[in-house]
Amino acid sequence: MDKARLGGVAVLVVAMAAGACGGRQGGAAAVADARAVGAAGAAACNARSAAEPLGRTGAGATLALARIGGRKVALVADEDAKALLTIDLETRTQLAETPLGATPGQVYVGLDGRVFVTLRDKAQLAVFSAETATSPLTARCAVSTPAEPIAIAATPDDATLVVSSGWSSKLAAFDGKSLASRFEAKLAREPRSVVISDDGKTAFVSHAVGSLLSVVDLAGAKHETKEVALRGFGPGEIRQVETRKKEIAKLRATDPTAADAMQKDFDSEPSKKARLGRPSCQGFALAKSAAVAGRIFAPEVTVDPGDPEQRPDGYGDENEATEQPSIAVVDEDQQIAFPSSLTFGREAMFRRRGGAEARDPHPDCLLPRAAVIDPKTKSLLVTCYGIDSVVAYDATSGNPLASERRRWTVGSGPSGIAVDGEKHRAVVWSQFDRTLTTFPIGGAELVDDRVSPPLVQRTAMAPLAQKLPAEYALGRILFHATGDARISSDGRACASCHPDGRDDAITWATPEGPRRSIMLAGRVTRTAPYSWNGNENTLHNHLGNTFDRLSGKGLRSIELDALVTYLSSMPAPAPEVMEKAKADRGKQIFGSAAAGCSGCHSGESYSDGKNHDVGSKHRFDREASFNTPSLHLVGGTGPYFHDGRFATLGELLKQSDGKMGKTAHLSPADLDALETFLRTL
Amino acid sequence: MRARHILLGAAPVACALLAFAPGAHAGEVPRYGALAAGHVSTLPTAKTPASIAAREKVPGFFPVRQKFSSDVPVSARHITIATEQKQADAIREGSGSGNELEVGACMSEQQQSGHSEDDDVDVEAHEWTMDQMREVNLWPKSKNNEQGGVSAVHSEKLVETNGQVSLESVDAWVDPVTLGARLIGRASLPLTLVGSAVGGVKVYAARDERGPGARFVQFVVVRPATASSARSGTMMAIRQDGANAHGNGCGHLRITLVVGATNYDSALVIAPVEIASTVAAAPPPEAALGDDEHGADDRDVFAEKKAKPGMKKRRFLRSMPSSPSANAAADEGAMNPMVERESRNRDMQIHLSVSQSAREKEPLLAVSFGWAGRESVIRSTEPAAPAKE
Repeated sequence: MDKARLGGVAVLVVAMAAGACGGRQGGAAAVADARAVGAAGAAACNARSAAEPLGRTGAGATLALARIGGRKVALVADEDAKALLTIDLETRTQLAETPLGATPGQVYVGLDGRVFVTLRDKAQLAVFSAETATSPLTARCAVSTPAEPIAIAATPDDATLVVSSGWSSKLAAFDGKSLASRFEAKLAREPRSVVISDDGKTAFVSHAVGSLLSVVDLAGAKHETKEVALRGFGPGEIRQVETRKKEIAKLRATDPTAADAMQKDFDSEPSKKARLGRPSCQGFALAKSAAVAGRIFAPEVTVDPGDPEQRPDGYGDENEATEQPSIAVVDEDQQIAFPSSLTFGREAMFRRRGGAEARDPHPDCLLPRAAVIDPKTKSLLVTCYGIDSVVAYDATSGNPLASERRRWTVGSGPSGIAVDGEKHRAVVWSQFDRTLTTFPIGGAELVDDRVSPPLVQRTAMAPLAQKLPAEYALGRILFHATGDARISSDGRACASCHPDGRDDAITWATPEGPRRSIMLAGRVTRTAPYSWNGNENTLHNHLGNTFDRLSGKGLRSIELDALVTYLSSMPAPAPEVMEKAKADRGKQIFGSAAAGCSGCHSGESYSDGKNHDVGSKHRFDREASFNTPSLHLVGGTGPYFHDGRFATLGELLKQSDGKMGKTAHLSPADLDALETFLRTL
Repeated sequence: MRARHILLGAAPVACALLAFAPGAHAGEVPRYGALAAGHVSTLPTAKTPASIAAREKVPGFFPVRQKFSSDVPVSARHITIATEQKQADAIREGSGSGNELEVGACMSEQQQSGHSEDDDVDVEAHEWTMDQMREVNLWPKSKNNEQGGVSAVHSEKLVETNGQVSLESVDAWVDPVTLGARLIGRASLPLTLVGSAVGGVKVYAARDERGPGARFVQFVVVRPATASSARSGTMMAIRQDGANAHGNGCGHLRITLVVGATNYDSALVIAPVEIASTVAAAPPPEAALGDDEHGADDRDVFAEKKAKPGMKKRRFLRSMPSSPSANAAADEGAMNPMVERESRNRDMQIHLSVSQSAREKEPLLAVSFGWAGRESVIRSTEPAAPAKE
């Protein structure tokens, strides 16, 4: 195995060196051009492969099923091993390991048998071919992608491959054969999963934060992007809005003045805000299938961040469930979400019968991570971190969340799922304990668990060559623990507000006033003191205070140490490559006395660690001075300021002039340069 | 006519209907277009009569005046409309209302549906309330109760005729002073089985189309009438718009979902059901039946290491709540051989949905079943069935 592994590394390195040439300089168009494969690339990319895709969904996942040389295998993107594992589906034994030298995102097996893998920290889409099931795959070529490529999807004919990139917020399209770059579309923050419409003309992209689903036109010349709002509504709220609209229309016929007044009230800011509904996040997964054609399923979580005016004791309203799962059903043709699917929630229904905990034995899926449709039972299978379960919902329902059919316990950190149609079973990859779980899906009917207990088979993979530190492994589990009373009283996990270690882009009501969640990955060790007001000097204390706010009972010191280790070790996303000259000009401006940025944003972390009053006090804030936030990774963490008042970095630079540095004197080009520099930090 | 006869006659329990259920098997929900069409009666639009002569009667309506003690004000003395004669007799005699078994028909009284009149959702403005009960009470009009007096009452019942299940509804005005009743109208809804689950739960559905913009799917959830279901009582439904309904002691619960180009309606029904025991009836483990369970537990904790095979399970069973009849049964056991039985009960959630994407040519129906609560097991001891000779 070692020999084979070494061989694989050598092939990969050579192929990637050939494929990923061209550099990544220049503007958006130039960057796109530079993604084209190098001289040796096109031919190498088209190598023959013995893999045959099974259970094809048109989208990648952290595992893909294939037949190689008559053997049915699961190809698993193992982020801890930084390798692609080949696992025999019948024996669940590991047959081969293909080293990647980078952290994989998703794997996709094309119609022609080629195996595509995104390499998150290398910004590459790598192509492999398979010869036998027992040997490592052979690296054929690689193309560069925007920073942090994650998900892969293909048009039904595989003519176009698309890759979502989380940190750079882009969708990149490639020619399915040559992998020549076709275009890049700019998206909202933190895109994750991608599925493509049945006609191959539209891509649907989920987002880990931001309450939306992006719809990208693949066929048109401009590749326009549309955003579908995914916000949660309480029972009756959608109907109330429709009723009010009808009332206004009816009144207009008899009393236009009164109708105008009613319309004015309807359009007022508080009214509009109420109509916006709850924000959502955790959009890591998407699923679609011909079995329920025309419907796209987007598991997510709706969030009630509370009313800042109320200054609750914790983060959000302590009397309400702040996070509630939701499964948005998006009409593929109309590109809108079914209102019924955005209505929360099951929990509210059970509460009416005397308490959710008393009646409902099923903890909520607050960290959905992967999803697939079982065509036979028309069930949507969703994997959930935290509860380490797969939950089956009725995919024919207009509100799948309320239609849970069954659930199965799987390994820790289930990051991927596929359906083996031949044996009608689910195959699940769990990253945290590196196990492969299989279970028969059974029928759609309700079963008596005592008569037909779930048949789950779980197998651990070969140990890692370089074991993960125990503290890191424990910290990762704790970070994703939902329903853990030590962390919160309402089931929230650390990862609820910090999906993938990022921030949820939500402004929460807190005792001090409105506060934005902050990004953790790659930022924690260099950004003390902690909290927006700089109240805590150590991460341990800050975490203890956070658990208090969440009404959690607190962790034992060994667990707290583990969590701190994990938080401190979460890698920062690889920065996006920017135009060098522009970034250099921006750096010059940043350091200039005229702009006055570097006075406070100084040192390695771009923070002096001190509190300043920059006139940013919100009317619900208790204090006026705030700790200088680090600018590390500032480019991808909007909206900005402690209360999220600025939607974009550009807006912040223009509107904070005079209060926090000076930018009024800068030309548009210089402002752009300054922003470009900030995005490199 | 036959249907009417059944409506009048002794209640055919829901179990009997289950054997004649036409339609889909579990997991396969019929198409919207495959559902039979019919109607459920709506609220009367005619003016309420001032009074109804005592001689006027409507089959299936059993108004009865119970005995009140003299300290109950006259204005508070209501009448009850039962759906069966034996139930009416029990109420009249003050010997309860026959709660030991669910009755076959469900009743509602006149009131608006779950939405207020301000709601401009016309399609549902004339629906009977979704709450369905085994009986309804009416109060005479008085100074303190201007709303009292003659009221409209809706009754509906599942009926099986030649293998076809239908929901027959009858509406009548009932006078709480004279106990007279006058027919308002009838309607029939032929039902198709759209889902079934363990515990004998069945879901039927039908199209109810009343014109453009007023299309509904009527779902009817039926639970077998058992002693356990009568005890645990209420089925509850919550629609996505927040409207909720109860089905109390009358065997079925009807839920109306709106169908329309911009409507995606759904509801969740919670129904306590009894599920088949997995443990065969067995002789009680020890003579100390009916012991204080905590005391028994304390004693057993110290005996744990010496426990014989099978003891642990028996202790577990004994630690479960005993039925109220346990002591009585134990007494009886002194004379007759007794067996220990377990009754398993669990809340089932039944999700109903009607939705339609742009690509779908007709609304897509969904009926799915799941567990909504933890299982509760009640142990009881009963006289063993006599041995066959």
